[in-house]
Amino acid sequence: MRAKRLAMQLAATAALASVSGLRAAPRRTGGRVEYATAQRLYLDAGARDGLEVGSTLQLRRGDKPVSSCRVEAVSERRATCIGAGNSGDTFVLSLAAPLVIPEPERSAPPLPEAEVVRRRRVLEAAAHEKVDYHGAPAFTVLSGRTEVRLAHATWAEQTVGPWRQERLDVAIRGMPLGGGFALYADLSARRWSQRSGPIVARPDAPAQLYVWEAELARRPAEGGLALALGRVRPWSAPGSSIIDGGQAGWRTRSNVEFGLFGGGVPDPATLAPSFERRTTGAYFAVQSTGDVDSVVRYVRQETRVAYTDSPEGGKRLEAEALAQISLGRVLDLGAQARVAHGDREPADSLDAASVDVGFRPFDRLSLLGGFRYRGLSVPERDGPGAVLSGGAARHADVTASWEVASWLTLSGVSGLAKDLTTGISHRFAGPELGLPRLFGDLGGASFGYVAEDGWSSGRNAWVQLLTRRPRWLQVLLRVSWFQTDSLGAPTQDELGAYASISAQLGPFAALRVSALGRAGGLPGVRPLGGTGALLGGTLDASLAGRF
Amino acid sequence: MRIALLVIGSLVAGPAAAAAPAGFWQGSTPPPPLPVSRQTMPHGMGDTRCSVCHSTASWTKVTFDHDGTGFPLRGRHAAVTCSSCHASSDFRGAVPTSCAACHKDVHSGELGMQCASCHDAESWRSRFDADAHRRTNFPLIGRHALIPCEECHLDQRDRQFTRATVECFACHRADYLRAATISIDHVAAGFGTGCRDCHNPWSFRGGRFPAHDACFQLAPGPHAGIACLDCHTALVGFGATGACSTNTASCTRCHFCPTMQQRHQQVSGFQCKDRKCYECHQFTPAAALRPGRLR
Repeated sequence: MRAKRLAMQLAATAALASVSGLRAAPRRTGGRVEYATAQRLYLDAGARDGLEVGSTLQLRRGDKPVSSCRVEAVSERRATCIGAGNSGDTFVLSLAAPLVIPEPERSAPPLPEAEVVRRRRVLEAAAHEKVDYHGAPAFTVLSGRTEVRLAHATWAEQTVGPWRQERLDVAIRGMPLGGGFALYADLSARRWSQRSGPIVARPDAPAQLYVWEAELARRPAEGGLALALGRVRPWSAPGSSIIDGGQAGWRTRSNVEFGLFGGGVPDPATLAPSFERRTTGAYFAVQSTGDVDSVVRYVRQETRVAYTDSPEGGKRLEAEALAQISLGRVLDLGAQARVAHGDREPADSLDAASVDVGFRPFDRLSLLGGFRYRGLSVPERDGPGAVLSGGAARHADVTASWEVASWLTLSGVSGLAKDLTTGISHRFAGPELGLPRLFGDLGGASFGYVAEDGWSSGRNAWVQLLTRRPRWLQVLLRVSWFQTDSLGAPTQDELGAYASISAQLGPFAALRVSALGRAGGLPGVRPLGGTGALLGGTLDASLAGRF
Repeated sequence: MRIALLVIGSLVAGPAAAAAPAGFWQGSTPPPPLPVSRQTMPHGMGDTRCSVCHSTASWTKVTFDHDGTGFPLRGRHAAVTCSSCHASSDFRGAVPTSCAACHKDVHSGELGMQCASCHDAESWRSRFDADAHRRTNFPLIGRHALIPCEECHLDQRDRQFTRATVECFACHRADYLRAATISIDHVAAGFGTGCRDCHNPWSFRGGRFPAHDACFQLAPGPHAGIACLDCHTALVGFGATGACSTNTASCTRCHFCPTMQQRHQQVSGFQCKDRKCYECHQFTPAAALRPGRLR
């Protein structure tokens, strides 16, 4: 009897457990993107899992939120969602009660076997052509290679100013025109709406137009005649000025190009066409890319030999060579040198030389260094009637960066710059600490200090914050402190603040606003310290469109 | 139609799903395999999992997670077509990460390979600002940080940012000469051209004149920062000879006589005359800021 009662109790307990188990049936708490297209995601959850049309899902990749999508259509167990994502992205399902799913309509009875066989034979016998996609030719004006930027800039300071400039910049980078020709242009139209104080740069020209490039060019990738006409920035001719003329060469399939160029060199200050300065010469260039497994991943070698004639430099024969090589991902090397012989110089001279090194022995460690020598004394117009001579200089810097962890980077920078005309120099060195994930996915911060020595000795330190969320918005904020103790002692302090906001407003437009502020003062007066403190700042705003 | 769907389905689902369902072709001879050539398989023969990059929404809108390649596509790089960087559509060729491999260098190679020092992938617009200029031979201190770049870099042509020299006088020659009309004729006074010996980069006003301190200390102290002509009635023909005598210093322009007479009631022999002030009050480094005393 007791055994029977015990059996009944066990049965009842089991029944209760099964009922409670049904009530607490493990509901899905998350779903997954099964398949993704450029605009649409296919989800493995549907109305039975609580999804509703119009609801928004936050997609995650691993532990990181990556994007969101809006539910477009829902079936019982599947849904589609409008947004960007990848297969495998996950999302959290709402705990709201799932929809009541009506009984599915009774499906039609299966076709008779004979009908199935008949249809199969029809299909098998049907002729079909393979689909081959041919994209429609894009309208060339909207090739995405044209960028137009409208900008405004203001420079203001407590005692002088302000200066205001409106600017329209246009860059066309190879807009196809047919016949293998493309248009390249790079120009800037500027208008000074306000200037004050002594003006050095073109004081009589409040409206200015600078054209660096306006050329029709063809450079077929498969080899052949390479040609450029107009205001040309010669390709593969290192150290060459822009010219009003042409460049013609022959390009092989293996990326070897050689040819000639020549024309008038525009005025250095106004870029007005002029044949007062001119150049002509030849160039030779090789560019080679290795296979993914090759040690030598990239080689670039360019040479220019040219004759130049200008009021500043006289008649000169110049030879310049540039070489760059990338060995795996470990080492990047670059070198450049220019020698010249001129009728105003007693012997051949080394006009310029530079070496650049990028060394990454490990993925997390990089060493970047460069040395630059400029031996040519550069005559430079300094306002109306004033011409300066000088400019010989050398500069070297090295930066070491170690990514200790994904959230911590240690860097060090050091450099030396020396003016060889006057002998005055400036040296600097200091550490930088980067915390790129200090605010998680939102962004990070960096802290730096640099000690300076030389004609302008002192020190400076800064704190910088950088955010990248949402993805279309980047905000950079920096607060700096500068101290200079060798310019007409006593020590001078300055405080600086910089803010930059970049917003990608859709696929074709971008907005950028940056502002810089400085506070300093007369000798002995602390920044923001009352009488004698001086304030100033700059504002730069631009709206860019890409077509 | 079903075959077409199967073809599309196999493209979408990958090679595992490309095989026809078992028994589908039973009872009939399967059609010959579709001709496959490099022309129809542009990415080579190795991988037919089209869905890795393509989708049924559009053949041309390609999605590919580029992060795994070691060259994450950030900024404008995310918007360019694959063929802009990859010369061959089989993606076998290595693509150099060096900027110059793809981009024409507007600096004619003169500024080296490290484009990222000034530019980023968002825009070619330079990020090089006044703070970054401290890593050159000319830190932008004071007002220099607040003027347009082209006021110093006049050569617009070659974008190499040359500057003849960093010596102050090279740019401020006109200011040196202009001083004759607004304060002291620097040429007549025999002042040197080392502007920073006296002036700071925030303002020419309040110039520090170290030689002046030997006669009458200006800074630090209550006279710091005042203009020369606030005290001196005229400095025409003034020469910095170190003689401590210009006979133009006028204390009473600021220190008004009625006030001074009241304050000096107990000082015998007091006369409200500029020369007399100086006989008692000597703001020299030795006397510092102490009030004047009878000699």
